[in-house]
Amino acid sequence: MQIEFGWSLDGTSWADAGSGGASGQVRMGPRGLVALLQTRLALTRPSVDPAVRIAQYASAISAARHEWVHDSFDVDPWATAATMLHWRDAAVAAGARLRPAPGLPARIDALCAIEEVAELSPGAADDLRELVELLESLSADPWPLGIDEIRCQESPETLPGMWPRLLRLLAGAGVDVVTAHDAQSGRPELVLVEADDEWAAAETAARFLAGRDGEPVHVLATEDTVLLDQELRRRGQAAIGVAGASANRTSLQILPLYLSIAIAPVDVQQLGAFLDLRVLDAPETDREPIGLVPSRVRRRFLDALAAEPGTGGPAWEAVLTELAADPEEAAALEIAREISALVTDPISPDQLTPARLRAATSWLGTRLRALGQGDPGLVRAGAHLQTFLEVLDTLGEDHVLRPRELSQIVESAGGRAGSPFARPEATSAWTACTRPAQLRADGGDVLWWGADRQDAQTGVTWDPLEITALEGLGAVLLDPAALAALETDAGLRALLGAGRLIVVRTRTRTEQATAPHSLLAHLAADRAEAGEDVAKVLARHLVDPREALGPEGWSLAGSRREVRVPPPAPPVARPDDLTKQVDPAPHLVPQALSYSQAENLLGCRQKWTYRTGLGIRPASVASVPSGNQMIGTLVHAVVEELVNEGTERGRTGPPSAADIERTLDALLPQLASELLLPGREVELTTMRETSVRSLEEFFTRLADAGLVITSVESRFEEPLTLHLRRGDLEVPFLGFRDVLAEDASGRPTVIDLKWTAAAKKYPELFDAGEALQLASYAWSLHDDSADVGYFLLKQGEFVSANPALDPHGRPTLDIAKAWSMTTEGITEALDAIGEGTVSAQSGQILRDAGQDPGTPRQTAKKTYAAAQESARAEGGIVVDARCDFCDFSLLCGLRGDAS
Amino acid sequence: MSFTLINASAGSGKTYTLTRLLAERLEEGLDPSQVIATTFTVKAADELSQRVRSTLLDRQQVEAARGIDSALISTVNSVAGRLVTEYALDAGISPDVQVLDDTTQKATFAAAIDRTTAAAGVRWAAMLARTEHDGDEKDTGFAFAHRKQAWRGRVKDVADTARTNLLSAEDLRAAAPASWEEFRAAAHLPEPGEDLRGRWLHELGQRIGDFAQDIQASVDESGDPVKGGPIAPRSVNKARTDLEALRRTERTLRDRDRAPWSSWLRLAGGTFGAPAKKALEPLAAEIEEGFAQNPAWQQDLQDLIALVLDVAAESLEAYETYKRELGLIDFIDQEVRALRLLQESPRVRASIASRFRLLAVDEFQDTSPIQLALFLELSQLIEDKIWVGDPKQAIYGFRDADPRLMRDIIDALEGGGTVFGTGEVQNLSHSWRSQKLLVDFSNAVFAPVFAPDGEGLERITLSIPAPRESAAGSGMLEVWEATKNDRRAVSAQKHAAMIAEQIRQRIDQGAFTPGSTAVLVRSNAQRASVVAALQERGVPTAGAAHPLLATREAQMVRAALAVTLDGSDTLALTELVTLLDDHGAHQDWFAQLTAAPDRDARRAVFASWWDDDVLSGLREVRRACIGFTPVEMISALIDALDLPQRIKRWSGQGARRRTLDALRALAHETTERRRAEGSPITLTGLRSELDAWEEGPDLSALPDAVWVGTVHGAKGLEWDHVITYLGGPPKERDHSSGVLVASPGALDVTAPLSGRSLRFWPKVAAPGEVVADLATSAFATRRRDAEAEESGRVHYVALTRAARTSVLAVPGAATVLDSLIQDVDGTGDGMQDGVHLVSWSDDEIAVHGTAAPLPATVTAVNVDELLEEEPQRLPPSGDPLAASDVPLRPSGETSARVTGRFQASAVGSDDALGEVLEPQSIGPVLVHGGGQRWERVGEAVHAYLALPLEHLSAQQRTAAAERLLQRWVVTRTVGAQVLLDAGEAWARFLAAEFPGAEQLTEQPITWWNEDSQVMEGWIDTLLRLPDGSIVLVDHKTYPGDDPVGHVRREYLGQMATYARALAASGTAPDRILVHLPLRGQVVEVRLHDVVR
Ligand code: SF4
Repeated sequence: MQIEFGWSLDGTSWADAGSGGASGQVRMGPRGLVALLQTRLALTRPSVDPAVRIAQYASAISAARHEWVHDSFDVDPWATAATMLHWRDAAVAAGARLRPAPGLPARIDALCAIEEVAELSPGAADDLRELVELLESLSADPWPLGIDEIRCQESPETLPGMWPRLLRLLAGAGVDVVTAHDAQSGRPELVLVEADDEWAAAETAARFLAGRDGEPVHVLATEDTVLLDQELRRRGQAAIGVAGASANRTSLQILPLYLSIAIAPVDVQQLGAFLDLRVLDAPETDREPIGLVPSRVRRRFLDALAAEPGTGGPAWEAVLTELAADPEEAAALEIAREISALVTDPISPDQLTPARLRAATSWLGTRLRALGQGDPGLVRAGAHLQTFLEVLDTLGEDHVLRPRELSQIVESAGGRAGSPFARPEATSAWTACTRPAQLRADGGDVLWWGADRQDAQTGVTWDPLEITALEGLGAVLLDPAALAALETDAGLRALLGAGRLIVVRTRTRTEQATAPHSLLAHLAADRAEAGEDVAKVLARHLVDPREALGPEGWSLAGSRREVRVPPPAPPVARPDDLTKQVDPAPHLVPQALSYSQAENLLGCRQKWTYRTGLGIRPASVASVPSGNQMIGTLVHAVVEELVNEGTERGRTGPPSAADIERTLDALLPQLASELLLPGREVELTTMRETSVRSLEEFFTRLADAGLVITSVESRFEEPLTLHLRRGDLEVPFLGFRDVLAEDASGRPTVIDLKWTAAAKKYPELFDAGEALQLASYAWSLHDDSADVGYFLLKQGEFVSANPALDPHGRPTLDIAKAWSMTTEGITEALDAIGEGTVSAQSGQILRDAGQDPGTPRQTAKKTYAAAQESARAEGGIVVDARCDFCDFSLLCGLRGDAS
Repeated sequence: MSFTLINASAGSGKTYTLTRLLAERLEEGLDPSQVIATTFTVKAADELSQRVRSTLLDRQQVEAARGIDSALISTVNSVAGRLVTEYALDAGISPDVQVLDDTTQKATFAAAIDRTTAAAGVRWAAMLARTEHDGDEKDTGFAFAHRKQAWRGRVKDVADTARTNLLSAEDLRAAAPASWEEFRAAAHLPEPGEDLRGRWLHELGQRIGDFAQDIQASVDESGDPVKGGPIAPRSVNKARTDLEALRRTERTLRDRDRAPWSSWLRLAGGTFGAPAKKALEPLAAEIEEGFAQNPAWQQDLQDLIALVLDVAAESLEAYETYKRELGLIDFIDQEVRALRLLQESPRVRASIASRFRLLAVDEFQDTSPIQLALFLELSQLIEDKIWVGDPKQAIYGFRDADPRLMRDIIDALEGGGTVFGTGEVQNLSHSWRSQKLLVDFSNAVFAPVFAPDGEGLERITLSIPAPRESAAGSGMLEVWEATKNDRRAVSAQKHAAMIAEQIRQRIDQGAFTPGSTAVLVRSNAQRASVVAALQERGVPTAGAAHPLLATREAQMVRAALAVTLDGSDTLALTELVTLLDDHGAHQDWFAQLTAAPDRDARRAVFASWWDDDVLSGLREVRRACIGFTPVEMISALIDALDLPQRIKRWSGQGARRRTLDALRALAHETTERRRAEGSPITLTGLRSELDAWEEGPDLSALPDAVWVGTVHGAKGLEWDHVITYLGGPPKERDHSSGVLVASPGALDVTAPLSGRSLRFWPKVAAPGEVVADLATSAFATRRRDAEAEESGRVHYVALTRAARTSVLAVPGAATVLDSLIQDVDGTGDGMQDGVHLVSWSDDEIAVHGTAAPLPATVTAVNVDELLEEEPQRLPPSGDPLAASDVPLRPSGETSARVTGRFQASAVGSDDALGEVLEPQSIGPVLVHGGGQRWERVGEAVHAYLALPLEHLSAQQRTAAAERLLQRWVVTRTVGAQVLLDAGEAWARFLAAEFPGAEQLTEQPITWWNEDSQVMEGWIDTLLRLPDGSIVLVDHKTYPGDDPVGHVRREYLGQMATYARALAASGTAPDRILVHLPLRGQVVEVRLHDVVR
């Protein structure tokens, strides 16, 4: 067997294009050669996961208690172990025998001390050492290796560590070790294309490859080719398929995601992401992909989260009850219970023991096995969990992991997973490689994709004292410059073998400036005229992608493509009139009407039509509420709870501040759990303080005004007849009255609670007689004496005509008038929609004023105020549907990019 | 020890000099790995290492050039980071900390401040309300109306300053009494007296009552003013509003606990009409006089100072704890830790001293105090130092640089006598950038600014070097002056319109090209106006800023992401239909949906939309996305939507490709952030990040466009034509509040930060006299001077960016430049009165104090008239990149091709390939039915058979067998004898069946098949028979009972592949055997169709 050996050749291909086939010849780097020799010498073994080795080394560090290490080890055991293991492996690879000796520098001393007690599975460095040792011991006792020749690209003496020794031993064992002295002295023609962005670069490179009429070319891709491959596919060419492995893929994020919701505090957004996680392609094309959580459970829990952004509340529990009631859902119920148990009783961060973690992940293991038969992603996820459990096994049972330690272990145990884009496609048009040194150009054309500066290798740097010590322990170390030169020389040698080098790179990638690959400077130096500086040489060869376009079409370095300029397709100008006109759609009527629907019908008919009439919805995971909406729900629930509790316990008088605070804190995890996350303290404290002060005021004021709460959150459903032009429509009007109270004479008062930053909005509506929501609630009581009012939770103020509640002296709301305004408005809206004329009043008002949803709120408010003013003058009403928060602004045409 | 300090004025070839010096040192034998070179930005670091490499190659120092990657050339942050990581164990810290980037650092720090302020804010709520420090930081919209400060913002200012100046929590706590004492002294506060607010309030009530009566008496029944009342009729209206205001104030003041102090002061000095003033008369004077002695007010000030400083101290501690727990570190920590390591660990000092021999610092003027300390510490250990920079260009005061500290250090170094030995100072004074006229101008302007007494001129003035004499002969100076019809100030909009119109005209006439022109501004608001004005005129502009999601392409990607992740997201699906003009339902989507009679019908409509051809790419993404990283997901969506082709049809495609890049950057950035936070990375998370993203794409480097940006952003750049947006002379501002760092008198270069302390003065309402005292305090003076000096440097940077044309775009004769010189009128008040530093006539510019005026072109533009006109547009210039060689959507078969590589073992078996003969027994059955760990046993057996057994001694074989069982951890499953037996049986078989055969084990084989796929693999054994024929052997560790069936089902494809590969390499096998060692059998395979 003939081996071509080079320091940078690991991972290289050894099939030579055009040769058809070959046997007995191979090209490899250090890793490959070690593996080969291992098979030859009966030294193979199963591989050990790096995370397990780190765990083993951590126990060794802990046993050795070396003084230099222990501070860092106490602070961060995992990273310290990983770092020290890296050093240890580097020292071993260099040939050092880590035996304690007096007077060693601290770092080396520590490595030696740990080595004494370590029970460590061997790594690559140990493999190398073992090989060398075995070969040494065999020198008397020949063992044929079946290798005829090793042609080294580098002279063996220039290699670091044990390599010169190994190659000497191989030579001694009958292998012909020769150095290839075919120093390349070519002077390839240089074409340097620099594009502004990666898409322009990819287009250029793809055109170049596609336009060669089958002329062979070598592709050197030192950056991923995802974008280039997309452009190649557009041109019917094969993908080059270079894409990096990464830990950021779903398969390796399942365990972290799962653990993040198993440990307190649970982030509902994260829980949403977990429920939403799809892990398997659908068995049939028209179906949704399969989730880690089955869709029946997922949907219900997500809906529960949308209602109550927390866990363990009524909506959450209802999911379990509902599933339990259905005998067909036994399997789903089982899973729902597991998930519920996980998130409602999460592990406290100070109880992260191996046992708890094992118990918490057992469901995940089962589920992955059940789902994942044969799916590489899920098999990978299962292996991740397995390695994680293996590492847990190396820890003592009483070991409490710190959250950071846990995430480090989880991350280490996962490693990286390959990209779906890393799939080179078969082609005879070119060969491809990913490192300059692996290029075999043989005088032909080379396309170098992504010739950007690479991050320098992160070898271990030893200082001179350490170097002396390591050499004393048997190591052979190269100085860093010589090590850097190994890679540079190999790359340069290979590039000089090209006849023509077409370099395509981008100046920026993901908004970061890139720098040219260092080899380009070396290439340029070679062709500098006397006194010309290298930068100038490079500039002289620079080509802008635009320069390849001429009257004859596109051409670059002998490659040609026909081009044409596509006709411009400017966007349709934004309509001046947002109204949509279609065929009559009499079926677009509400099944049941709530106040918020009514408000949409009044404010923007399109908004109602999209949301209610047509059922256009965002994804459910996106509907988990937060912000004011979430807090509003919470405070409502607090009021409800306080009143119910008061009734149960027979409390007389308003609840105390302590009662309020206790109730609030009890409901937080169910209704606003995200406020319990770290970093939200100010919000939480402010909200709590405001709510307590405000609710105290609420209850006291009501009591002082002689009002007794009779019910909270009382649901009503009243038939409502709308006299549409096409005939009467009867719909149930339904809703919840936040608070219903009575005075001594039994006269009812409906109070609606609002948590809002818009302090002026509700008083204004009330004063203008446009408090339609209050009117609707009053109407539902069918009691002419009913009084109404708002309570503004954030401000702690009533808005009411009752002077005992609100001293502002507001006019009494004309309920009948307001209600008839509402029903008339609804009727008109439904008439128009039924006839196919769907306007968008809220947006139209902005559009008429030359504004859009991006207009600052202060300005938009003025616009609406003016519109309201003129509407009132004509006895009409304008309801601001809040285009700035509306989901449908792209659909109605208010938002868009008209450039 | 040597120290070279290079003062490099703008355009004087700083980097050139630095690289030359580095190259010289390397030539003298310095090893590249012994170099540390730091720069200010990553880009500069890249450039520097590139330049060094080129310089080395130019000088034929090929060896050094090859090794240059081992030099540590990087930003200060990352150099510090490297040291901290490499020496983490010496410091007893984690060797693997996540470094917080700027955004995350801000968020994390804010979170720490949040935590500590949360409790304190509640406790001190009333005081914060009285001092009006209870504003909301985020609520910028109301800042003007309420003039409320966010005290948390002040806490952050203090904490930030403390961190960059290496001040501890303790230092901050100590700063509270010191700050208060100094404040009190400077304000000349009287001893606290009596709190008279109760009496004032009572009095106010009466005053208001009287005032109301006066008004009452001045109107008739219908409320119309009448003559003869106490208030003149023309004043009645004002009096009424004043009364309202007074009543409101009274209501506020009644809540004594929370009423702001400013409300009291407004009574004293408010903007009331004469009648109201009269009504308030004795009270107003009393408040004015008695306010300062109010004990509660004084106490509030003291409390506020203490609160801000104490909470800042606590925040620092909380932030530390938080980072420690999560193993996080920020840039400042890196520097502090590196500094501490150098100061405290002898091992580290020795190690560094032995590793490095040259420390090069580029742009030294921009280093922060800590960085400076770090460099000085390193400088004590490293022999050779080269510092390059220009104190005149230190404009990062806002980013913690402290130019004064820098200046003191430079003075000390230059003076010699420090531990660093004598410094060699070089002044680079040749301009390699600008033409002569421009150089003359900046010399004239900045000599009086930086050297008012003429000292040190050599560091300021530049000259044209001999080789450039002829080339740099000319140059253009221009003034664009805005004139107006009225005397009001020129608005930003008008100023911008003037600039844009002049640029448009010059581009139109061919005098400027967009790519060679830049407009330098001071604020983002100015930038926005200029960008808008240029765009209105069709001038290609770099530097525009709009949110990502305002662009069509980003809207498409967002919707595509949402609907791909969740098919039930009908909103996103509908958005896609409206955005993609080639979607089948694009025109009539609304009609289709409204026509559907019920829910099921609508569902069918949605389904048909998803099935549209245009979305076929997305359907594929949905299938594959489980394997994607967030960045790959974005790339895949962009491709699936055919965006690269689509945008060729739209306007501004260069900017649109930036959007695409920004989307990928977003995915990258949020992924990294989540990783740093230890949060899981999901595509669902990507979607919510995208939804919440407020930033825009980076459009600062669009080619062939006029660059519009701040002076800070222009640092280090140059253009042919530079327009400097100059405002009028700045208004006098209050400098008596904020954070100030005080240095001790004498500087110790080995401990530059020792003895520094911090002061915090709040901005509070105070009586006029107190305000005046504060304004002339040393505190205010120092802040004012620092600001003025900074302004000088900023303008120096601005006015030295141009190579050929320098334009001053001014709002009139008086400009901000006038404020750069002080005291030219000799009045000693620190202000110049009516003297212009730069003035102009029709064709000349004169600089104050310079003898000869310089020729210039002056253009006066009436901006009021300009704004009346409809702006003219430049003719649109097509972008050549719009040309396309492929259709919008790839048509026809787009399915993936076969993979480029394949493995023989993955080739499917097929009965048609050949037949499997009956097994031949060659030895004993070794394992029955497979054991528990038979896969590993199989590996061991396989490995054993791969050995050159026939050449090994019995002893070697036994050792090898035992070794393998041990290594595969199956010693308990099988004994070594099993392996030996297998080997023996095999050897016997070979000897009998193929006498004299040469046995080649583990042979590499490659093959390109007819589909251009390549196979690389290893053949277990090849037998070369004496007659030259070849036998292919594969060992299979199958323990089961159906060998023939097994081989037929599993291995025919593999064998066929090997056989064809061998044939292609010219050694086609004559026979093919499958050896089943565990069963002690050999089966022969006969392929039907092997190419020979
Ligand atoms: S954005 Fe405004 S106009 Fe458009 S649908 Fe929503 S509410 Fe109506």
